[in-house]
Amino acid sequence: MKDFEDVQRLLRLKRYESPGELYFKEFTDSVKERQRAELLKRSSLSLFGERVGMWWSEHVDRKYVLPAAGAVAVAAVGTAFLLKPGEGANDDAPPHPLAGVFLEPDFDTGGDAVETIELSLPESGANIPGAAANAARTAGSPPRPEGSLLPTSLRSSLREL
Amino acid sequence: MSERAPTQREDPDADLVRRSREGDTRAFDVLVEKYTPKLYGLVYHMTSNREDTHDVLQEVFAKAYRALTRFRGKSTFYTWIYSIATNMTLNFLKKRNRRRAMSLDDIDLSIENDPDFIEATSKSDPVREANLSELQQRLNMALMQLSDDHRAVVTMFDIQGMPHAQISKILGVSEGTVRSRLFYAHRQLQAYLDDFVK
Repeated sequence: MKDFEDVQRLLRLKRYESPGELYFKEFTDSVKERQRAELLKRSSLSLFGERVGMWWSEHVDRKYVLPAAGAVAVAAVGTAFLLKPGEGANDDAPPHPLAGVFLEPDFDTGGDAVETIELSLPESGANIPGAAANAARTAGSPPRPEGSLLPTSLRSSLREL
Repeated sequence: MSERAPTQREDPDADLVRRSREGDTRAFDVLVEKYTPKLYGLVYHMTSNREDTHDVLQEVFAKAYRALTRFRGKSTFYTWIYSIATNMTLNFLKKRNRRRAMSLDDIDLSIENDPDFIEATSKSDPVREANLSELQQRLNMALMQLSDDHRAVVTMFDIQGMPHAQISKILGVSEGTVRSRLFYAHRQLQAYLDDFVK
């Protein structure tokens, strides 16, 4: 078309736009590298799959595979069923922090009432083993402060520590 | 009527393709070296961006290698891989940001000896006065104004010199559609390059 001859002439000049021969050489090298890498990856994956398949066929007797898989499936379903929470549980109340940690004591009191035993210290002057020796040791020492359980001499030793 | 598959004589790459499919990587290397310049030109003129061209072309050859087993020989290998490159470029352009900046290749200085260049500079003052870089910018900007489909037919016909029949086979459209797209594209380009072609 003569009308567009000038436009087409200019368009043909775009053939001179080029990255150069060196670029094409490097590009084709990079394509080859990528291709080799993909082939290597594909072959290592297929090799791995082959090895797994070989091990499986050597170590697993096929006639036991299905029954074993079935047994595992039944055990899994049964366990899930047993661990399901019981009916009638009070879902509204928040769980106790220690729920499930302690078990209720499982003993029979026999229906008797629980007896309370009170403990008390003996009165002063009562016959207590070792009391006389202790009294001689602490004679002349300052009175023991209230609440203190240690003899004065021992308290001094400890203070030095 | 079914299309007759090209014979060995019609497809010069038949032997290389057969060997490539049998696992001969060196045979595929030869095909890559042979068609990289042409496919580079296709993708580059459609994208006007060197970096995008590099990326797309890498994917074209990777896809072609993987798809070799599905190549039935109904067309020549060149037509087949050219179709892959065209489709992948069109898909890429659909996803690409339309404001992507141009990144242009250098111009081979032997252009100054080209008859078309000599004719263009003798007939048009603006072309004569513009330096090569400016001319290149204007041309590429005008091309980028076209739609992707129109740019594809202009690239194949005007820049790469492909006949209408081959373009129609590659794009999967009739020859009439190829001609009408070319007419519309030329008219658009003439408007964009009005000051250069008067």
